[in-house]
Amino acid sequence: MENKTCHHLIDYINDRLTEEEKQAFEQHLQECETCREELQEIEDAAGDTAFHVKQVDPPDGLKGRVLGHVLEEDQQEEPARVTAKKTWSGTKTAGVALAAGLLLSLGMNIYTTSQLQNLSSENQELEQELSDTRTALSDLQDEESGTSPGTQDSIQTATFLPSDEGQSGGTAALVEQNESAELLVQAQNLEALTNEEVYQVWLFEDGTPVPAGSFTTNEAGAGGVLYKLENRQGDWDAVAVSKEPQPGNEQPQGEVVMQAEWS
Amino acid sequence: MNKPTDKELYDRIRERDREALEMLYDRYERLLYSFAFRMTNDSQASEEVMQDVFLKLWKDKGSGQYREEKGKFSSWLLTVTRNASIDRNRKNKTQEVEWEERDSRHEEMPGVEQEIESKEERDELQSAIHTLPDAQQRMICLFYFQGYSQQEISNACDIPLGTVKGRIRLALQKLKENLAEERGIDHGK
Repeated sequence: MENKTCHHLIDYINDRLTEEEKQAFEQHLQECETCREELQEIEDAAGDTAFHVKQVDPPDGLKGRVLGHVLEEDQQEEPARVTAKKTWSGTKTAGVALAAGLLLSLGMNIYTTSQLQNLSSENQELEQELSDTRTALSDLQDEESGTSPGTQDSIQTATFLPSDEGQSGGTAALVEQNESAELLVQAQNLEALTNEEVYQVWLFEDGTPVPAGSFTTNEAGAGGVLYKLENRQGDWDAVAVSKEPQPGNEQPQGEVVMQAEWS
Repeated sequence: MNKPTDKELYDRIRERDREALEMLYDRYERLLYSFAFRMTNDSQASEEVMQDVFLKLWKDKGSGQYREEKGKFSSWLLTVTRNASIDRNRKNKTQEVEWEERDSRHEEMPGVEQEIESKEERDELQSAIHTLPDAQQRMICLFYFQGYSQQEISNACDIPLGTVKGRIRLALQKLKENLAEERGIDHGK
């Protein structure tokens, strides 16, 4: 027997009901077998058509940006949409999400060295995007400084230049939030390591190096690390990577292979 | 190795399991992106749709909540994607009026009539829609691609409100048969 609520099926499917009507309909769904069957039938038919759509390749890096965006929104717990900000171009928005995406992915421990290698092949694009990220985030901070003083995030980025004629390169991003900070470094075209050697990352505060994680490279010479500085915020002026004979050095012992200043 | 079912992944996502979110993403990326692209006809909009869909899933609120009485998970997820695409089309259309006169994009909703005229690559869905009678094509276009409400469809097609659901079901049923023929799938008829 159809009752009045049954007529809401179409608007329920197209999400055109008010929140109250929707809840009432969902309640109704549990009791009305006809509606359940019709919902299933329409959604199946509608879903089925999706499988007949010409498949297109998602753009490079989509995953990082999408999942990055989810994490970013989640952390902010704020309805303000980055994508809705009118003064930003799409690239800047993508940059924010990309940076967050990288942090997210590394945080998940899902990305392997070989995937980092893929990432590093997009390095040039990344540099541009990181620079856009900085602009975008600083815009965002300007925007938000009046409304949410409690969540002061800052992000700094840097692009590594090789210290001699080497071809190494890479980027770094430093995200500071509350009392802690996260440093993401990724690099490529590094010389192969031997024995116990590692590439050690250093942050400089007034010229004093502070160890900030180490990494090894893959066959292609690419590698990276996400390092957390717990309860440690500093006035960092530079970041460098050196080749150390063993991990765990508190002071640089080997040669610095690349360095950069925060901008 | 046992692959977790969609429902299992969804349950883990509700418990804030990022790995499950990533697995579900990998499973559906291509399908959902292709579908969003078909709905919006724009890569930037499709990317935003993907963000909307996965954010809804992760936040697990309102229309981002799946329950088994809502039907198959994949059908439900495609419905969420379709609705996100329709929202996106609406927003982009409004924004463009407000912003600047960019008339190259979204002059029209990516409605069926327009798409059939365009020389862009046809897909199976398009051919299957094309073989429907005009009235049914219109029904699919309004309900499926433009997300009209029941009342709006009733007004646009000048048919009684009470018959809208039946017409939609019929058109979708017919579409399904056409799609099966397109694929040369014998459904035992």
